[in-house]
Amino acid sequence: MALTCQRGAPKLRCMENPLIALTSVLAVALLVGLNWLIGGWRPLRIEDRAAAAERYRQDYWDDAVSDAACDDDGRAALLILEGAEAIGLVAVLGDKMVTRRLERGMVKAATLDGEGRLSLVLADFVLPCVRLTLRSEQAARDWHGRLLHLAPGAQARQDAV
Amino acid sequence: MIDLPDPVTYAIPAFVLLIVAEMIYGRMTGRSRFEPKDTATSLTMGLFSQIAGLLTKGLVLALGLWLWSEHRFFDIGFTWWAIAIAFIGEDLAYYVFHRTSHRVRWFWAAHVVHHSSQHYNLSTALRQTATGFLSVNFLFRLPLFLIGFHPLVIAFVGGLNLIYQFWIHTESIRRLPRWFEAVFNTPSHHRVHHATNPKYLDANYAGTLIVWDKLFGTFVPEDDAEPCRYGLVQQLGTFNPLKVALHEWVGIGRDLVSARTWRERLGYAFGPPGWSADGARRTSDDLKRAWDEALDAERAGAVPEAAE
Repeated sequence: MALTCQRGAPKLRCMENPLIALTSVLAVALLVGLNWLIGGWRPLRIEDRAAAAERYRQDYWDDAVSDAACDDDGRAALLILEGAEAIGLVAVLGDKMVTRRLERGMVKAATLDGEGRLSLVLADFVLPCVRLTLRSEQAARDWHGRLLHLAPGAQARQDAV
Repeated sequence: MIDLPDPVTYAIPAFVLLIVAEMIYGRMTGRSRFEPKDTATSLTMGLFSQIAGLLTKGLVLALGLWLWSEHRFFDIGFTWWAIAIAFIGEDLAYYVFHRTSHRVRWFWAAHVVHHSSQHYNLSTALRQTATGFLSVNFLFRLPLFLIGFHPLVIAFVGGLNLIYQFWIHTESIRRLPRWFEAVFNTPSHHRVHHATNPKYLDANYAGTLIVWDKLFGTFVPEDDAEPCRYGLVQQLGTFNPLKVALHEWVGIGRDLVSARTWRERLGYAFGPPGWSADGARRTSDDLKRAWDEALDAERAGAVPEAAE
């Protein structure tokens, strides 16, 4: 067991040394700062419905997308899937996109304000909410209705109102 | 008594310099890309992992020393050839560990962190798990102690293996000489390992020597006609390091709560990632099968049938 002490002690000392911990945090901050300064990246924007559908079909190639609606700022898109009780979702994360196939129960809540802003709360630990602003109020209402179908609780609440 | 250094400690400054070099090279040539939030998450995960490792390494070393001193089969000394054989043995153990980490959800819950970036650059190499001890990753090294390799020798060669694996996380290097690609793990082979394209799933588990994949039938070469898309088959929608670290464990917890039988509980914890009691989710085998069927249908001129 003497070896454990010989080997273990310097490491524990390293960990307890606040200077090393501080240097590590500083190195991370400097690298991220350098990344920011150097550039070469830009926040992604979903340009149009075709771009959203193309990205969605990379992950769900056996779904056929019949229509889509893109957020005004290009941050997210919703897709109608032919013959499926589900809605496709594409959302921007940094300079990449994330996709989801929203099935019944995966939408915890969907709300629509008077300015066409749709807010989705998802049963998804790593993508808990998505917001979209749709140019057409009618389109926003249509999508809201479709999303409520996937959130039985929200449907019941609306029925009660 | 032996006194082997921890090679990773000495390599850290080189890691930092190489990341800076790749950032500048990537900006000049467009051959690799960094995104600040993604980089921050990767490096923070690396810090978490180091801290967790320091807290648990002592326990693993103590267990290894007990096994080695009380139960080892052979007396293997500390000669250069013993260290060379230990490196090869540790690399094989790494292959087994790595393959298991992709095929058994309990181990995947820890390893998934390393695959969670959609970028593939040197910062991704440092995106490591902080929950490896929870998923008992150290089990895979125990046979080496029983054979008779000293735990400090294994820690040393394990460090060398880790350093080797750092530089292969890059898109800046396309291909290396054929003899090198044939024997060693390379950026090209490892890009395939990190890719989510169905044809690349569950391939190239090697640490240093790609020969293990060729030997055990898991080798897939990079196809220039099929550019790699990186990350997970269901990408994370967050850069939050805590969520990145814990999301699969949370998923296991939720599934265990909803499971009704012991078969389901075992399936959710130790089945392949994507396994579900009702078959609604897809494992990597399911995805590969569905992709092959879609390709076959496309070749036959038919519209691929919806899977669900």
